[in-house]
Amino acid sequence: MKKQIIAFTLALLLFGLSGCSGKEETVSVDLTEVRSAMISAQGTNEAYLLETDALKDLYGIDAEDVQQSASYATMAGTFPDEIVLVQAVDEKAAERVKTCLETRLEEVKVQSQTYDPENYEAAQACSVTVDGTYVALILSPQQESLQSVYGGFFAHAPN
Amino acid sequence: MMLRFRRPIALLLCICALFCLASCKKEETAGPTPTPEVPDWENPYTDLTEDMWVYPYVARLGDAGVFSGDGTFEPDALVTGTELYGYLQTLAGALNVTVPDMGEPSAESLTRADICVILANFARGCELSLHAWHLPRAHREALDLSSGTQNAVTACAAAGIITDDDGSGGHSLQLDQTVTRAQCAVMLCKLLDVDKSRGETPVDFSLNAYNDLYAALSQDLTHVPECDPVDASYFDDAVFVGDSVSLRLQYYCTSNGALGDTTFLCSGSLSATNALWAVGSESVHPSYQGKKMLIEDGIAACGAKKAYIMLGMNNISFGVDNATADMVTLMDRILEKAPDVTLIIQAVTPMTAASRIRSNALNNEKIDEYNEAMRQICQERGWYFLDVNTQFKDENNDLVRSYCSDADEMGIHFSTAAAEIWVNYLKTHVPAELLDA
Repeated sequence: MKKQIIAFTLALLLFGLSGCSGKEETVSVDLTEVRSAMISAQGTNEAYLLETDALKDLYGIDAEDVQQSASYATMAGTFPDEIVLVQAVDEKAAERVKTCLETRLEEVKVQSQTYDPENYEAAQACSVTVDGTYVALILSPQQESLQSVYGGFFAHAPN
Repeated sequence: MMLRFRRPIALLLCICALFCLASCKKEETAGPTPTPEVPDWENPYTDLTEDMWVYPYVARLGDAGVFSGDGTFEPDALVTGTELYGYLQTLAGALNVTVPDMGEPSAESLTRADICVILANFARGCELSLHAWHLPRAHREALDLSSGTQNAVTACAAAGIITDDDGSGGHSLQLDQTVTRAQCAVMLCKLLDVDKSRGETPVDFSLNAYNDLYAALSQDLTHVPECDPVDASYFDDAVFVGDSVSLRLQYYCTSNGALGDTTFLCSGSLSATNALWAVGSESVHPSYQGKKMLIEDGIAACGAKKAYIMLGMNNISFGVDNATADMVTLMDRILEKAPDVTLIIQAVTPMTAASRIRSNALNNEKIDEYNEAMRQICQERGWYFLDVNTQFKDENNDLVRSYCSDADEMGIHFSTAAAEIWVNYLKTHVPAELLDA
């Protein structure tokens, strides 16, 4: 009985230690819900929904790398807003998706140079974010508020 | 038991007979011209063997005395005017006709267009009666050639002397290509076997025989008439090249499949000028499947057969002449990499009256000037020109404000309503030639 109590205590200790290791656990997020919330926040009724099968031609993202995705483009500004939300199948796939989206971001940054300073500045402020296997490109003059909506779905439990 | 099946069998036999008849009828008017039967001929050439595709043609001509000599035939050597005139002298003898006066021959190698002119002159001068293997039609590739050459090309293509089937699935008469001795043998055989030509319509080798066909083609190229809407799948083998105006079409169609599985090579700031520059980290070339590349390479990579191109908004301000010249260079580069692609130039769309980028160098009058210059070039080069811009203009020649999505009054980008109109126009303005294909 004593041995069993010791083993149980050790198991609890190990579990507790792993919880304090500092590694954040990514919550499970339905990206379609995130997309809906972002579209609502933008207040647009002209969002063009883009699904996984469109990502290869647009960004070079292989469908095999994608666990789920929900993306859209809008036409309100000089540049189309492009919001690409992807959950990759694993971390290596997430790295590949990130590379594709960073390439796209760089392209738009270059293209925006010939536009007015306002659009150029908006493009330079955009970024690709990675949260575990979730990768997002938020390319919009409203990127700050959209980033906030997106980040709200990834609130981590306190350690 | 057998009686039970007699009727169905008879019916089946009837269907088979009808099918055979239909097949025979089709062969009368289409398909490649037949290879001549190999005659009993003593081959004098050391570089010509019976397993070579050209052997039956050379044998037929050698047997008729058109080709003579010994040593080597050199099938890959290019044919010169002098050489062809020599062949035609002996061919006239074989046909028992008098050689017409065809002027001084050129000592230079000949293109396929040159040969069409010479053979048409010969056929006309000798009053040869060839029947049409194909229906005579105007060829887009011949549009920038002289009227006499156009007529000669149409006559020779109709008579089966030249063909646009290069065996690779492509369809091009390759009129600017030089002709080898082997290829020339095939053409001469058709004239030699003039009495074996089939069909009922005689080919007219007179100088202006097909002018009407070319006039109609020029009209069709730059004024594509309205047709019944095609299915979205028609655009599966199409590619759209454009700037930020076309980006709007890209996202609209990618989200709803309005243009099937079409490919888009669009990017903000793109023009025919910067599209000619080298690809680099600072260039604005569009990406195909995540890889930035030249337009011509993108079109070749996606294997498109129809290229819809709208470029001009980003370089008209540098001068209409410069913008059109760069467009022609870009189109030539595309055709070099993808010779089978049909080019369809879309007119640049207008700006709103209040557009904040309107200037002396870029305004709707300049856009119209550019469009008219491109229309003229398309007519000369055999490219299609689509007046898609007309769908978006108000009575003052400006972009209808409600069709513009720009919140900042840039005044050039489209709303969803405009994208729908654009798609509808594309679906109802398909060149007849592509509809038939």
